[in-house]
Amino acid sequence: MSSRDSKFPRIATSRRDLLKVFGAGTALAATAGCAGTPFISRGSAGRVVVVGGGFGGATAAKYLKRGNPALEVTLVEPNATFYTCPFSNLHLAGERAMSGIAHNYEELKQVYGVRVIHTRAEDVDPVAKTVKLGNGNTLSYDKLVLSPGIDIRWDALEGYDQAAAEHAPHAWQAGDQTRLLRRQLEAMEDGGTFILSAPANPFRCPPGPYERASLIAHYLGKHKPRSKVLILDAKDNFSKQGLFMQGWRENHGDRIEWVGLSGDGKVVRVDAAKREVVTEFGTVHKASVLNVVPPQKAGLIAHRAGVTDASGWVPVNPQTFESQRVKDIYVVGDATVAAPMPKSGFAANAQGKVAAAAIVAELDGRSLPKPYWANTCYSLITPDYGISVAAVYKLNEEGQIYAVPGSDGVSALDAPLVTRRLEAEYAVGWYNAISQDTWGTVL
Amino acid sequence: MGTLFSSRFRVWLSVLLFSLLLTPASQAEQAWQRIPALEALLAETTPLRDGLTLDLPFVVDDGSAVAVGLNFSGQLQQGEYINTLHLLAPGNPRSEVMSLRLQSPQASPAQINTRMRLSQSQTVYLVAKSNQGRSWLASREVRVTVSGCAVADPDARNLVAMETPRIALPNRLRQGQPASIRIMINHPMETGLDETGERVAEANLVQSLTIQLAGEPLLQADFATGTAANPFVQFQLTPKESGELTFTWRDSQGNEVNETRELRL
Amino acid sequence: MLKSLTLTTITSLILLAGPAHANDTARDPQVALMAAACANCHGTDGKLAGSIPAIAGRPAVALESQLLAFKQGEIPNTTVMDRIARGYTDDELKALAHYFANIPRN
Ligand SMILES: Cc1cc2nc3c(=O)[nH]c(=O)nc-3n(C[C@H](O)[C@H](O)[C@H](O)COP(=O)(O)OP(=O)(O)OC[C@H]3O[C@@H](n4cnc5c(N)ncnc54)[C@H](O)[C@@H]3O)c2cc1C
Repeated sequence: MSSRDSKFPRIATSRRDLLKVFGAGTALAATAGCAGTPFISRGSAGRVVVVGGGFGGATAAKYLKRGNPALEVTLVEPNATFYTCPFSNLHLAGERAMSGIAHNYEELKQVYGVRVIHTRAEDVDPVAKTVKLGNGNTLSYDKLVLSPGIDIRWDALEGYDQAAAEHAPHAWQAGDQTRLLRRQLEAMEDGGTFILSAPANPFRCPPGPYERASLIAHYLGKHKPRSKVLILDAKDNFSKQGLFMQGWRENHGDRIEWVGLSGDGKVVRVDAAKREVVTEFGTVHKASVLNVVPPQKAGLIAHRAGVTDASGWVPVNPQTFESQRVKDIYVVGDATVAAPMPKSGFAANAQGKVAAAAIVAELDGRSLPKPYWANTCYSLITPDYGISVAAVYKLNEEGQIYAVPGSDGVSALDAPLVTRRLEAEYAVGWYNAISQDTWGTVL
Repeated sequence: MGTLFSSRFRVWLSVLLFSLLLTPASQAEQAWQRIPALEALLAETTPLRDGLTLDLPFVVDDGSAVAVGLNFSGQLQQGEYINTLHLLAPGNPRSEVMSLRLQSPQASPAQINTRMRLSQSQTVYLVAKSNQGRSWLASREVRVTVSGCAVADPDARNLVAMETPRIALPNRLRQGQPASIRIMINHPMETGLDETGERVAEANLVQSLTIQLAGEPLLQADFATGTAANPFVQFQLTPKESGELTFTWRDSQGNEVNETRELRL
Repeated sequence: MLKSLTLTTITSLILLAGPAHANDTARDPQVALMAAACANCHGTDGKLAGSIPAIAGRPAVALESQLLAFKQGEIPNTTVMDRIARGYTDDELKALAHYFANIPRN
């Protein structure tokens, strides 16, 4: 225990420093002796640190232990309770309590023997292979998994900073922001306008803004029937667009208005205190409740670890989800560039399993398994009207991820109402299953 | 422990150095000479690299309207200015995306934005030329995951002619201070081509946007099949004095749309 | 259609009683990784039953023929399983069927 939690060691920054610390002789001898063989601490099959207990990280921790129970797996996650973004839109609509999207780490601890530390990972030293924790301790790793999700790019949209998010919440990370937006919707006067500003690609959960607009329209229809929903979009195309538009007409009449990029829908400035936004061509829109879904990037710890590229996201080797830049650091979930896989909880879970299988195989000296991923994103247009987009993903000959032709597609546009109702039921079934698979939650 | 430390460090260092050596620029250096459209543009000259940048996302989810930034901030000689910029996507069925003619020193080659189509993953090129015959080349590799052809804008189908010209000028303009101007017009930019580049219908394109300030030419944008629907141009104007800005769009059907704005300093 | 499917299911159940080569597939990390994606809707090891059925411990032949029927578009009112099944080769679907058949349902 003490060896893993030892104080952060002095980091040697140059080769000269390294020689000073360890002596030239040792360093040279070692280069010859150790090259190529994975280093594993004595007495364990390997030490794996997982940062982030969301969809990607919690899944990776569980499937690492399932793959090899002898691994020492430590999960670092600041919060004892994790609130999912999936189904948080139902909370906004007053259709689900926060406790219905809350999960914890008891199964990981008690059933799988994962050590869970509730603190932030502050820094990564990829040379010493250590993670510095917010509680002052340091963890050593043989393999590191990062699944930190997204961070908001606070500098990307004029007027939208952390203080602004207290007036015009993003609610794109679930928890207090979700509660705040719900309170604002409850307090909103009948006849008001809910405005949602949607970002350009790529961002977390491509259909998310449109599901949110749908379910809020459902809430307003029931409780504040004279109110409107306006979506201002930085894109001209969005996920499942045809199905959403059809579903809006069928369920919400003309309550929802969508303005795309070519209709001057791109928001370029936010005045959160006034709840006003200004678009590219100078139109000012005033909201009763303003929800800004801002541009995003990989979670900060990915930048600290040096695995991000100029795009702000993390390029990975698709077969293993190991960073393309730094060895022995695996990154999964929203933080990665895994297109054509979307930034979804389903995908993060599937990627966590691929990374776990690769790590188990490597530490065991076995050959890597062939990766498989799948994704299904359900969206609710009302609590009883669901649509989906799905695909199975494999690696092609060039080693890139592709969606298997025929597997990728959306629900039929002409499907009968029973199918929509069934998909809404399956959406709940999916949520229950992924919650059980990721955190062991029995809902 | 010390042993591993240094071997790992060396691996890490070599990976780092390796990735530094393999910058896209050096790969593109040889590649462009094999592309006829670029060769024609750069005939006889050896393009410079420094100072010209092409800003595109590394991975594109929707190739139908990709935001692209063009920026020149290089060293110019006495009396030299950038007079043309050419944007090319040789991986598209037709490589032409757009050409810009900067016809006055008041129109800056810095911080220009537009939107383009990318039908597949490819290297995009930008050529800048000066009035003294020097040229610059920038390139950028882009991975496209959903083909621009596959994602149709449902609204664009109903549009056949130019509609709703939009112009955004800053609230406050000062003499000698660069100010950003945004211009867009709604139009489907129908290429008439299928995915292979075969002509299957007549093209219907906005061909050009010309801008004049106080009767003097300022900028002309020539659009092509690679320009995204609803042609969009953003550029920086450094005004010398107040005057009338006129905007003229022409399409391949012979239609013309005119707009004017008062520029007051 | 559904009826005939059930019939084949039952017949195959009788014919193929007991997990034959069960443990090979079950322990194969390659198949385990392929099967892991199914857990997102069917629960860990395919054991969660709800609006989406559990798949653990169902006869391999029944699972396989149902997956193939999904893939061929032979099951009416399918929502996502036709799309998902088209993502795998027939051999992969067979391996998945055997994998889940050999997991005890508890
Ligand atoms: C409104 C909305 C609806 C959505 N609906 C769906 C849906 O229906 N289906 C679907 O599949 N997906 C959906 N998503 C997307 C889904 O939420 C994300 O794709 C998913 O959360 C990504 O998982 P992740 O592991 O990458 O990140 P997260 O799940 O966000 O987990 C990241 C974790 O890392 C922790 N962390 C961050 N930094 C550190 C650090 N330095 N140290 C320690 N811990 C750290 C955070 O506390 C957090 O717990 C939705 C998203 C939104 C916003």
